[in-house]
Amino acid sequence: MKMNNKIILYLDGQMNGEEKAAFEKELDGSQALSNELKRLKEFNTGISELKNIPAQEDYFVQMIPKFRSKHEQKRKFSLFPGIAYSVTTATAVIIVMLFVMNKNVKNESQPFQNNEETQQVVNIEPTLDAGSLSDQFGFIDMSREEIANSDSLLNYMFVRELDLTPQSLSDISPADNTTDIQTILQGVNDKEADAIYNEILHKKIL
Amino acid sequence: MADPSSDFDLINSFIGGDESAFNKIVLKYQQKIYWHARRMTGNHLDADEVAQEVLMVLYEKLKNFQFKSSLYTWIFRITATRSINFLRKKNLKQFFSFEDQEAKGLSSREDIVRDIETKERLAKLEKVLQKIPVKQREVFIMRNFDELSYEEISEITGKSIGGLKANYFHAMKKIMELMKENENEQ
Repeated sequence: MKMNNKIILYLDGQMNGEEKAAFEKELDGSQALSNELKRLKEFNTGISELKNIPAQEDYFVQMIPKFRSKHEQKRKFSLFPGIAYSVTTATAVIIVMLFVMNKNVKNESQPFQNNEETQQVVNIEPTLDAGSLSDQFGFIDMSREEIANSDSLLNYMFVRELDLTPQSLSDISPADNTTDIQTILQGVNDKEADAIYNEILHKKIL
Repeated sequence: MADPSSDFDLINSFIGGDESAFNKIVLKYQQKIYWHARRMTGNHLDADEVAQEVLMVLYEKLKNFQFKSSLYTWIFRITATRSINFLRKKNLKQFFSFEDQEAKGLSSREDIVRDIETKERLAKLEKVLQKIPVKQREVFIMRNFDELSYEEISEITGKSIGGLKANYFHAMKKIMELMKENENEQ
């Protein structure tokens, strides 16, 4: 055991009679041990002097009034636990309602995503020809092959959405209607085309 | 240790509705509460906060006092627990930087000790105490300043006497090393 350790145990009274006697014997024969013990005793004396520190009496005189004032404030606040409970409950209810309402708004704006029953079903009249289809889909100044093979993003999306092929377009559109389609579609700008596309996306076409 | 029969009367008077009995209890123990908190926290402002918190708990729980331990031990248990809880909260605040350096400086300036020499010696000791672990600090303070026996400390903290002795031993060892370092620096 190190020298310091023994001194700590000795001064703290943690040694039994036998250990104490042995340590005191060792102490007699070692000046270094005696010096260390002296140092530790001085430290303990220093500690003792800091036990009862003269302090500002005002502070301790004011301790009870300060507590009483704090306690009074706390008591006043605790007089209204019912109100506090009601406010907390009302806030919680409002938060839940806002959450639920927000969820409903989202559902209304995206009906096609999760509510098939609310999807609007559109029947395309059998009388519609390729001209009117082109009118809806914005195929301006393009031949049927060009429409089917178009690499523009918008047209590619239309073609993909409707699963169009040159063959399918020939099947549903008389060849002599092309000029009329082009004339009509010239009046449709990009924004209108986007709007039409969005509308198609949100409808189920039978 | 305080006179238990007198404490018994004071508690009964307080339970009976005598508010002045509570004041008497506080007057009797306020210095012990403050100085324990002061040595644990290392500054006046924090010690004051802990002391006020202890009085609040004391006031609220004294009516349900079971007389299973002495009032002295019970008050010490509250003070020790509140001091450690305060230090934990403070450490958390410092970790997340909620407490700014300005507040730190302010807490070290404000004091109830007026004598400059005593103030310096106390500051030196507080500085050393703040460097040892809280549990070791607690045992060291209770042994050296509150003059409690290991049995009493065990009753207050709920720790085994063997564990407390080990804590005290390590605390002393570290304090001696730190004091030596301080002397060498000077």
